[in-house]
Amino acid sequence: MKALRKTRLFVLKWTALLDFCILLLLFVLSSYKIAFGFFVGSVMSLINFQLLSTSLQKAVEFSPIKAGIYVFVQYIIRYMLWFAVFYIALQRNDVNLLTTVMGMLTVKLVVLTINALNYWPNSQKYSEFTGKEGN
Amino acid sequence: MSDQALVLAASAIGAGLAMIAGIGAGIGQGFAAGKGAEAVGKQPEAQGVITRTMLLGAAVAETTGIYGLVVALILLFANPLLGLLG
Repeated sequence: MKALRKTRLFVLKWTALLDFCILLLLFVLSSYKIAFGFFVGSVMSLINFQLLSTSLQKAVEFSPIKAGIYVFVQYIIRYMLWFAVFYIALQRNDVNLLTTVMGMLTVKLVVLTINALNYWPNSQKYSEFTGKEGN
Repeated sequence: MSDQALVLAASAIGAGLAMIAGIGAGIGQGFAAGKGAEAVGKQPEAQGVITRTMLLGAAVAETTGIYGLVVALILLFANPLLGLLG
């Protein structure tokens, strides 16, 4: 489980760094509403990634059928959390929905970037986090 | 039936259809976890590699399911089509 922990921390660290940079830019260049929306989305995406990691770590120790059901139920719980976040963002005037969605996408951006760098020449540094063989 | 009622009814149906995207991602994730558990059962020493590959795949797939939720919520609570009626 050391490998999973390493990958999780790597993704969380880079996502938090990217979120912080974008948040700083949004605070300087745009309004409070837009920046706060991004802040809510990015914090929620970090929590979501942590919950996903915990549930998958538990699921692989179950039988295949039980693991499938367990992960599906956990997914629905995380989906409800996102529903609450987006609903509040829609109802409140000080949170921008579009930047909340953008905040949600930063984890995906980091994961895809790590995978893209994995296929970059001489990229053994990243292959240890994705479990794939680099070029 | 007024134009507004028609737009609201069509939006509610659209929101329901958009939610199917979310369920699809959940079923896929569950299927992947089942196969992951099977793989760990066959090859316990590769548990770390299997789980982390599954984690990165699930993280990408999950956001796709949430797009559907965003579309459904916009159609229900901040419908841009109502503004076009005049």
